Amino acid sequence: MMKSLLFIFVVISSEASEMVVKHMPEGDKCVVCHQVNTPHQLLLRDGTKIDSEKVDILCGQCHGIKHRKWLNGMHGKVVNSWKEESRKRLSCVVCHDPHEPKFPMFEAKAPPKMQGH
Amino acid sequence: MAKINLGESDSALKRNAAILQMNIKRRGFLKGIFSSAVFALTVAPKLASAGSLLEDLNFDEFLQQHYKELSPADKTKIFARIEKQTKAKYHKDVTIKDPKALDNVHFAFCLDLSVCNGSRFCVEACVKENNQSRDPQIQYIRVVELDRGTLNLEKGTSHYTGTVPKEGKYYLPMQCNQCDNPPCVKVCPTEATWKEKDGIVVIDYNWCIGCRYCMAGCPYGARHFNFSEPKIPANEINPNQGYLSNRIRPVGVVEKCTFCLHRTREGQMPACLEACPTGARKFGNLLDPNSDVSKILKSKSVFVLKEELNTMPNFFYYFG
Repeated sequence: MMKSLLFIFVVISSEASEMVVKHMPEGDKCVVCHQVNTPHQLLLRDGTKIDSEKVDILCGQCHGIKHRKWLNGMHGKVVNSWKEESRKRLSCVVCHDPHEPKFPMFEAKAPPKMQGH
Repeated sequence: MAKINLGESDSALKRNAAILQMNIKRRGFLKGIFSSAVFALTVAPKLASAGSLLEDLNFDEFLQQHYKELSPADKTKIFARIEKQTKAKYHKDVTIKDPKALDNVHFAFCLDLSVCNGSRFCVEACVKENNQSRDPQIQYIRVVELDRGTLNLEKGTSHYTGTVPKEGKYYLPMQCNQCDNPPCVKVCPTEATWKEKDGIVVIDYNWCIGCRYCMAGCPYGARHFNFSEPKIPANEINPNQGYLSNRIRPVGVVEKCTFCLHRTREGQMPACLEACPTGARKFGNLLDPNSDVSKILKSKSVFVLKEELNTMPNFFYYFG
């Protein structure tokens, strides 16, 4: 996640004007999540600064239903352990690129061999 | 002449009766036969054929008791033997473990069909984790591609290729459902397969006689038979092995998914879940009300495969 945030920072600071953001329809969409002059700082809609670890709250402002599902383990990937005390929910931005959140297509792994054919 | 014959058969009858009166235990009887066979083979001149026969036949293995009757000392000995055999056969150092079924735990899987994209990452991870034979190929997970709006497994295909997900299709991975009322366990004539208290149906590969009744009994096609010695590249063998789960199977036994019990009983996630790129798979303890699976069962409409057969699966599907 740090890596992706660093990526966001680099991209925004250097090529912000050239960047194609396939997230949200129109308007000044950068500032919906980023602070104007210090874009690595994420902001909630009410102006509260938010830590990169808590990015799910930022996403949850618009994607409330998904966020609730994520909090209850119905959406998103859980790793490390199935035990409550040590399970780890992967954050939204691990799977979804915030600038292009549509989940990518995959090349399927080899199908099973047709045995006896 | 006839009299002599009669006398001979008379004494043979008496001898047989005497044998019958002896309280012979089958295992002890076989042990006697085979220890004399060992003697004959070892004192015999070193014939090449006799040497290879001795290597192939392991009498400790042949006379091994059922898993449930093994003492901890027996297990230590057996695990050491299996490790040695694996080393000799596959040239790889492995560790055989036997994690016990956990108390107050009932494992279950939930799978979000609206998220699964049919990439088969789970299949690949499962094959590697569980040391499944590459040729002939054995795979515990079968991903079925179905038309949206239908649920007729017979109309689906598991042989799709290319970029996924395809337009108008959805993907349904199938594996062992770890049924609470498992037909495979009922039909086993040797009790080589049974349900553990944490919900996992296991197989003692040393007790399985390879009759394949369980494969006929399972309505999900979850069980697979080793028609020949499993072929696995030495560098791909997973050395972290469980006696009841992913140790390399001998030829002629049935195997199936065990929810990666060598991982999950130690708190880890199953390999298929960790490999899934979409997070469609959810795994947890049904007896814990705060587990993800319990919450999904409480708040989502879940379904199981072939519910009408009353197998009570522990593998639930839902549309997130």
